Amino acid sequence: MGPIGLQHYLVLGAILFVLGVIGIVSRKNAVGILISIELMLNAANINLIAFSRYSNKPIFPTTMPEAAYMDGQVFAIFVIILAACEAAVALAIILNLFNMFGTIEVDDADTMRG
Amino acid sequence: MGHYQPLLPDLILAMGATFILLLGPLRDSQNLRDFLRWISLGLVAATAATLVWVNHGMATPYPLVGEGWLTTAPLHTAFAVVFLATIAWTILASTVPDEDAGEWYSMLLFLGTGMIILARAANLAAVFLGLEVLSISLYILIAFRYSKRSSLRGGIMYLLLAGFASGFLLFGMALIYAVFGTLQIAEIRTLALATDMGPMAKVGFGLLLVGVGFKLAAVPFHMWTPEVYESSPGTVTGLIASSSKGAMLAAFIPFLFLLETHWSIIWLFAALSMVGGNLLGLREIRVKRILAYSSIAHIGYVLTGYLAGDTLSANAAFLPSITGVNAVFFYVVAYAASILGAFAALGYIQGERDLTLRDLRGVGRRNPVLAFCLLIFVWSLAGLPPAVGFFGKIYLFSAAINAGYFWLPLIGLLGSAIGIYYYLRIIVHLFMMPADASDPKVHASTLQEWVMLGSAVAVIALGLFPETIFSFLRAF
Repeated sequence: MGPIGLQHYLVLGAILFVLGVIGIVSRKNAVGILISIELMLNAANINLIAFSRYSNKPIFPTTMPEAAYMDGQVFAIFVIILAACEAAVALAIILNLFNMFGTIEVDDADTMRG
Repeated sequence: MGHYQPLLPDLILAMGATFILLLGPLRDSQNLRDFLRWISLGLVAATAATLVWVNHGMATPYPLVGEGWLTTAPLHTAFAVVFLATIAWTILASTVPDEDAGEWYSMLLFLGTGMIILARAANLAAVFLGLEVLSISLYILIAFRYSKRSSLRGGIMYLLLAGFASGFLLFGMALIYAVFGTLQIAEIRTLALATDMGPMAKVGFGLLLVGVGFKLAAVPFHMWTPEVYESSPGTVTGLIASSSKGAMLAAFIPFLFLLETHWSIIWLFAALSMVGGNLLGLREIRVKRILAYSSIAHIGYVLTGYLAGDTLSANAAFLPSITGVNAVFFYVVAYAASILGAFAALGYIQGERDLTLRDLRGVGRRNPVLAFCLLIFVWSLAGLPPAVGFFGKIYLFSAAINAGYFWLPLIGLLGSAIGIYYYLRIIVHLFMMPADASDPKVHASTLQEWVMLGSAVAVIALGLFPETIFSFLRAF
């Protein structure tokens, strides 16, 4: 085992992504699925930040030298904000679902029938 | 402002949407609702005007603005203007309770913001931003009638599946960023064409296409479509089917270089969607679901044209002046004009629970104007002349044939022939079946009837003068 490098982050990201996919496919609880989605998004975030750190290509070398190497990290911040918005809307809908059906199991065909 | 000037349209729309959201809770009155409606329309018009103004005269392909976030290419601007028009149409055609008017119009404007960002994105991060703004507004619009069970169910279903798709899309983007070291689509294109793609890039683009397939509801990622279409308000269903998918298609025009390596995936999407969508629609009796399956088939037709790419082939046999991408633009306009009206009309007709073909009986006598408009929209969706949908299909299939595809247009033609059956079934039930004892309930205001009528006239007029759409495109 050498020092921690890019491939460690890649493996971590891939594992989290696969766990997220498994979670979505196997879970029925809406909050559980939401957490799995967040896991997938954050797996991608880890990759973005790692690549941003380890890549050596400045994006705007002439116009904005201080912003070089940053675009992956900026993208990750966007993803975090958008995931938060999505979670806010999702939780609002899930709360209403619970009030109406008394359950948040999403493919419970009998209880969820209109 | 400097080179941030082209971001002006997005700023106007997003800030206007926030403003309307704040005005909403002022007072529950019809006056306020009408006031908000006209303000929203004004904002959409102002955005479209600004869009045309800031992009005027920038003709170089894919110039980048705002530090490379958006493109001002004419085709993308034209797409954005079309999507704004669909939003304006929906603002006019939708029915909303007085007390929710602020939220409703505000979310429609945010939806428009997402669409115009997505349609003009030149950067992977902008694609994701536009897509999420669009999707999050849609979650709210789908679940808008949250006291109805089906509405909530549709909302959560779309939310979870779209989130799943976003995960794939984003992970694909991360891998692409890893390989090429840039988020700029134009740079990725240059690098991808210059070098042989490694396995990581191929996986990245593959994940990207899976995410896009989900959003476009191409078979085999179509499962969410019938349920979500059924449970959303009619006008919102029209937007999901037309411009939200159209924005995705516009966003991926810069990715057409993928045809070199990944054309077989798109080919499969197209073929399976055309066959699957049309076959699944045959046995369905709930009208909105029939149109949902038909929208899957229509995505197949569009992808057929998409495969033809953005270059003219030298030995073109049919209509040689129309590239695949232009045909896609034509089709997005034609399809939006027809499907928006069709779903809005179905939204005005009240069924027992889910609207079935049986509920359509007698509508022809009860409200001839609405029924006649629905007839024209369905006629256009079926791709029969002289409606605009007919020319849309001709352009798509001829572009595909010119590009050397033979089987795909053939599958498309067979699929459309099968599809005519269920479209005609809707028309037969509208006009030729005796009504049941209870009269069908139709709620449409005078304004809405005029909007529908205008839309129906447009469908026929664009069918008679299809060149109009291409001259519109050339005007940018």
